[in-house]
Amino acid sequence: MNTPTLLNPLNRPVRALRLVPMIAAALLVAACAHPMAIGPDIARVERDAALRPIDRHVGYYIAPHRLDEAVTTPGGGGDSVTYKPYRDIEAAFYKMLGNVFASVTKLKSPNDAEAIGRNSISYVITPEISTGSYSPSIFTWPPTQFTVHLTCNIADQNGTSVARTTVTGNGQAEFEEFKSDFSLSGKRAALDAVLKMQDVLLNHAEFQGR
Amino acid sequence: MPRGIRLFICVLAGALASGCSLMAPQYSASIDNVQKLKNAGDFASRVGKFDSAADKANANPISLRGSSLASPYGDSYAAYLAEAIRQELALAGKLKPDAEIEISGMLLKNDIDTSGINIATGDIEARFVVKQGTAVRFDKVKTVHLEWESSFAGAVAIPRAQQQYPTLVQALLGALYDDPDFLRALK
Repeated sequence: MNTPTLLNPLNRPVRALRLVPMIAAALLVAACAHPMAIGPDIARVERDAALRPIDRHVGYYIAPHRLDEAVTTPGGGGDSVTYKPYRDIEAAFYKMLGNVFASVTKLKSPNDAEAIGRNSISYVITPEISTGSYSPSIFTWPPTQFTVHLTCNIADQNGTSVARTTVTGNGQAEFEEFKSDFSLSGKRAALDAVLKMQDVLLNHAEFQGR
Repeated sequence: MPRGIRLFICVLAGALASGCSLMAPQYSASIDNVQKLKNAGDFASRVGKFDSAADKANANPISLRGSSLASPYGDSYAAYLAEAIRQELALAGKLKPDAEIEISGMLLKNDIDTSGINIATGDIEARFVVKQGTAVRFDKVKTVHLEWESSFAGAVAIPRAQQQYPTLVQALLGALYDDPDFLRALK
């Protein structure tokens, strides 16, 4: 079909011209995965001063591929958000373990015998993290609601499983709050999960009387 | 060209080109770095003053395709670096405000280049000085260059570059802690 010409010194059809706004509109409305980071402010990972740490040395292990693993979950407006939960939460997790136990060591493998022996480690903790997010907004992409499920698999120094415990952290943030920090609901959920895990570990039957 | 299409293109161009002010994420300690400090043995240190050199390569704020990236620590990237060292020393149990050993320094280069469609780069360089009283025990410059996957779409490339800034600082401090002369100077 011949399109009537509108530009015309070169007598080109305007079909190409019509494509410009169509492509631009497609680029604008195409769903994006927006990068964000959900690591909470570690200054807020504190232990109640009335509580004492458990007199045991622990190690934890996160596989390198976990630290590099990016996950994508829904945001608002048909967009999604992408982040690295293990990398983002590791510093807060480390500080939390340091609040609960006498000392904490990052291990190179779950059975890092050299580090386990050198640091007199009694327990090896392997965390698992899964997340979810949501926003009812059709205009803004940052999630208003976020959940972080944090599990600690706890083994003794011989690798025998002694406990497994899971908590769920929830975070909410509305537009007025997150307009200066798009990751706010995620950071709140991560902080909530880490502090809940701290309470669970401090009161866990496995460590009582030790 | 019909007026409607012309207007649409103008509005679109304006929307794509308009810059905005962004904040770099607060520093999040690298536990690998913390472990290096812990493994270094017994020492205690405090963090002194970090300055910033006046240099075109030492950007503040950092420009990301027309948007600007500021430091969340008093708009100073030197203060960002000082905070990063403070966090990692604290998590390693080595930070002591009245310690005799002091770490100070000067930020020499600090920039992110997001002009590429496929690859973005970050460059940071700082001089680190360790003193005990007036005696200088360590004085070296450390440099790091990082590359990461970028995108034609600014909506992806700019936030990705923003999220990379703490990683750039983590890498610089990792290079510092890998220097046995630095660890010796702290004891």
